[in-house]
Amino acid sequence: MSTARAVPDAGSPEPAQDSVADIRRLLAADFARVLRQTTGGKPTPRLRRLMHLTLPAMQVAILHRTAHLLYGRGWRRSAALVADLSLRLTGASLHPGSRIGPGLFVPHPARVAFCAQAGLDLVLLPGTLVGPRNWIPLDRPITADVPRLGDGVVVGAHAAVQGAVAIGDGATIGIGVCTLRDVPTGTVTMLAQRQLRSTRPASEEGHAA
Amino acid sequence: MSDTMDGHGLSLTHGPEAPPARRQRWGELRTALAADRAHWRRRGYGSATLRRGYHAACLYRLSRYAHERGWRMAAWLLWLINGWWTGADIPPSSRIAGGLLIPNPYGSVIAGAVGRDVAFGTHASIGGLLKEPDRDIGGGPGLPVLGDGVVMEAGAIVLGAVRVGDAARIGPRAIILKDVDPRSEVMPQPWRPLPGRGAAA
Repeated sequence: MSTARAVPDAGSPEPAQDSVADIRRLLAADFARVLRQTTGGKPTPRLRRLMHLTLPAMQVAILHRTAHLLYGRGWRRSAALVADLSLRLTGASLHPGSRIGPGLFVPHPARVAFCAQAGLDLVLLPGTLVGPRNWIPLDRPITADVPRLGDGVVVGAHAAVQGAVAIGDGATIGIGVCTLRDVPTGTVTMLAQRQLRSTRPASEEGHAA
Repeated sequence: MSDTMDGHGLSLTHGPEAPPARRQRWGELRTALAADRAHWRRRGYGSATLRRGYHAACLYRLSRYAHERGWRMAAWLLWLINGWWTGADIPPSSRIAGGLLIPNPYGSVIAGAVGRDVAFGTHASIGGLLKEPDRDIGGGPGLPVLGDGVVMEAGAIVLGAVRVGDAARIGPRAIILKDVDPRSEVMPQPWRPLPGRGAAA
């Protein structure tokens, strides 16, 4: 553990590191997002609002922002430890170096793996895989070939965004879609073939490539 | 497949009920683990000893050793420890040759037979057993067989008694239910934009 080292790494790929005040602002935005999504903007008692701090979505946000703060200071091992705790507690593995804008919302963090840059109001639904084709271990610095997600992107359940692609603002990655190329702004992607009902019994058309 | 697996700590029969022709020796286990570490190093991940994926391979190989000797409780405990510590479900009944690389073992299931120098991405899984459970092509009942040097990318799944040829590459989130030729590359289903929403892609 290299927690005793106070000077950040000179070779850190993150040029602008977040301060504690930035992290607090991001977490406040995340909390507002979680409240808005779960209560629908209705007036909520204070204790009920505090309860939302314990939701898995907030656990992911708190642990990721903490890990990102540590990562920005150059404490990569500690950041990896916090990210690993997040994996153990919630099932979401977010690389501590991934820069995510305010308003992160991960309603069901099971089997989420994320290693990318994202803008405002990112939604990660369960089972999403966002990252480069080659997995970056949690204690290694993040590289430049990660996906770049714009503002207001929704990554649907079991969707994957792989490689150095750019996802435009407001795009939605549909259920089970795997993207290896860019998605334009505002596009809703869906699978080309959908099996609504099997026409032939015991048919495997459309599954095996 | 069978000739390539010799000398890498693999016996070709399945389960402790049928005693294998030649049980794995301790030296073969160590050879397989050295091949695992060499694969980690070759892919640029550096030292493997503190990585969870390497721990998964270690614990699997120990549980396989116990399984082949018929130490069922020890094999089960090692499998349990593997799931608890690394999050990978690698039953001791599956046969994996040396050079297994799982950079991120959390959530992968490896049930079947796997050749040398195979890489598993995040959440990549092989298994089956539900479809044609009486068909055994070498990986166990209804379980797949992966050749040497297969690369499974993130979220790829191979299900059923199918054979994936040597050096094949299974793309991210691809679901394989049929045999794959050697040195071929399988990519996932393409997407299309939802009509009427946003720009056409």
